[in-house]
Amino acid sequence: MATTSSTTAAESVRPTVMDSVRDRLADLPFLNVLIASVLLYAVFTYITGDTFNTWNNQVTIMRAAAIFLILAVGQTLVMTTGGIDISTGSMVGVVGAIIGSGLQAGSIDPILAIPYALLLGAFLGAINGFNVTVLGVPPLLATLGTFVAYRGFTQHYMGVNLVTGLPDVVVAIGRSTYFGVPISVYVAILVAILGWFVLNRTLYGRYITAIGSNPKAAEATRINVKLITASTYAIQGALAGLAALVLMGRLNSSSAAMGEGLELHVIAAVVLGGTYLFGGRSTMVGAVLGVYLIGMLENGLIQTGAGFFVQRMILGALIIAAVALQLRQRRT
Amino acid sequence: MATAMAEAMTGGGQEAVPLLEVKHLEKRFGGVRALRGASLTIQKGETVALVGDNGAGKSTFVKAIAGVQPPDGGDILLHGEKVSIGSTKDAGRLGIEVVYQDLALANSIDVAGNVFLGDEPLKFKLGWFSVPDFKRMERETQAVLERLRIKIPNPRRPVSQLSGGQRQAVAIGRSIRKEGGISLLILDEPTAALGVEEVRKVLALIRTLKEHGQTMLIISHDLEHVFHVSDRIAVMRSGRVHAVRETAKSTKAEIIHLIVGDIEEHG
Repeated sequence: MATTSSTTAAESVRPTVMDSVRDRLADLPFLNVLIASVLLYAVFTYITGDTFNTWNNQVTIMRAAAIFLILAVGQTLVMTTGGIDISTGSMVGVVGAIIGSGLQAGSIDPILAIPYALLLGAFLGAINGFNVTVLGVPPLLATLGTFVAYRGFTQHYMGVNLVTGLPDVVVAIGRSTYFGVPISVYVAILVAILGWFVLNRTLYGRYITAIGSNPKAAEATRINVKLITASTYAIQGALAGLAALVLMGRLNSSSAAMGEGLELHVIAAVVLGGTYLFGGRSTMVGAVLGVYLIGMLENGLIQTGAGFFVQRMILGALIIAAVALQLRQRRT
Repeated sequence: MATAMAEAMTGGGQEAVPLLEVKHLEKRFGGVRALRGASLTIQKGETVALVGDNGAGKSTFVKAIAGVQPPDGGDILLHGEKVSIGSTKDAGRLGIEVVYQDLALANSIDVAGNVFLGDEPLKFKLGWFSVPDFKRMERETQAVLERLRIKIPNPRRPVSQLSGGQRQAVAIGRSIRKEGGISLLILDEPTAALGVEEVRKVLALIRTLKEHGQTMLIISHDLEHVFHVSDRIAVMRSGRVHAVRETAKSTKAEIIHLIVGDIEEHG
């Protein structure tokens, strides 16, 4: 700004254009993750020689990322309101246990598995929404409670049983490919596109942004703050139901441990993508990139010989770094 | 008696029905009588400033009119008709809007989004998943801002990036945007926490609203600003409207004396 005013009128045109470009870039909340993704891609390609940068390997990454992406879309909506859902993996577990057992026993029609899974998930999520909005339990603790409780239910329900031999339709969702790309990836991309539309083009997206940005401002309008906030948890639940089906299909099984630890990936991906952890500012494109970044990271780390535990260490550090970076950018 | 005084002050007591008549408002909080028969009359197109020491009852008075905290007793007449204002929604329906000091803007949403928040025109209707008509929102926001003679270089920026005065303009724009205008605009400390230049802009904005004939009630601590924009000054004291003065015929010294001076003199 200072430079603009000190230059002559003729010169001042160029800095203005540059300024506006810079402003536009600064407005892209997913800029960091975009740069990080490109860098990481280059680094892994360099380190592993040819194995990372192949179509087959990218498909492997996408297959693993599909479930995370489905859940990241719901998590983004929750986080837009200033909430968080850490019970995601446990909801996947409950749906996997109940729907999986039902499918194995033949008591659930495979065709109806999708609506059932969505409904059951939405119900579990709605409980979170109720606890947060009606009981007023802070989101982190409300979903920590169900994180434990839902997992407990799953363990109680399943014991040491393992559901296997699922119907072909369900296995197909997790395993089949179409034009070389897994069906689950198409499903995830469709969910992400819908999520983008809802967040950026509908009243719902506006309202959750307003709620996360300033709940008092939202309450001063016609917006039904509680119902809308609660609904984001229900949507995340429904998506957990969908993710459970995809995961069951991919593994062709379900167990008491299904979905454990998913939430960590999902939250990391969303935050890395540029969604503000404290609400009001979120990005679906960032969520997609964040999921892909973490998928790349895991895949690349395995290829470079780092183990599962190292991955977790890096993932944890990344969450902290991403939030620290957000706080820093907010201050400036 | 304050009402009587106010009537005397408006001169002549023409038959014109006042826009707002507030009569003997009472409000208790436990053992505290926050309002003790507060009365005030505001004529159409008038700008009345409400001043008084902390705890005099200004904000309780305004909250009663705005439906935030309905009064325990007393009457409110709008256009000569008795109205009951039990909620902010009631107040909104009656065309009474308040712009609070903390403004309540959604920071990460742009100017047009804030002006229309919760009342968006729709391009495609489907409940929550309706698609707002963003172009129309932007167009109408531009029109409102032009009417207020407010320049906001890029209305697509989130309001967090605006200056204090611009934010005030957005909040006022949202309040008066309604089709056919609103009857009463209440501004709660509109110049508090603003820099000199920003204050100047907000005062200019208030004068523009006045030119448009907007009736306003302005709560302010700053007598300088009060004398700048108001037609009459109502002084609150111990839960009552203690005195009302015509701005042009009063002085700061007199108002200060009414606010903090010996009470018997004016009873």
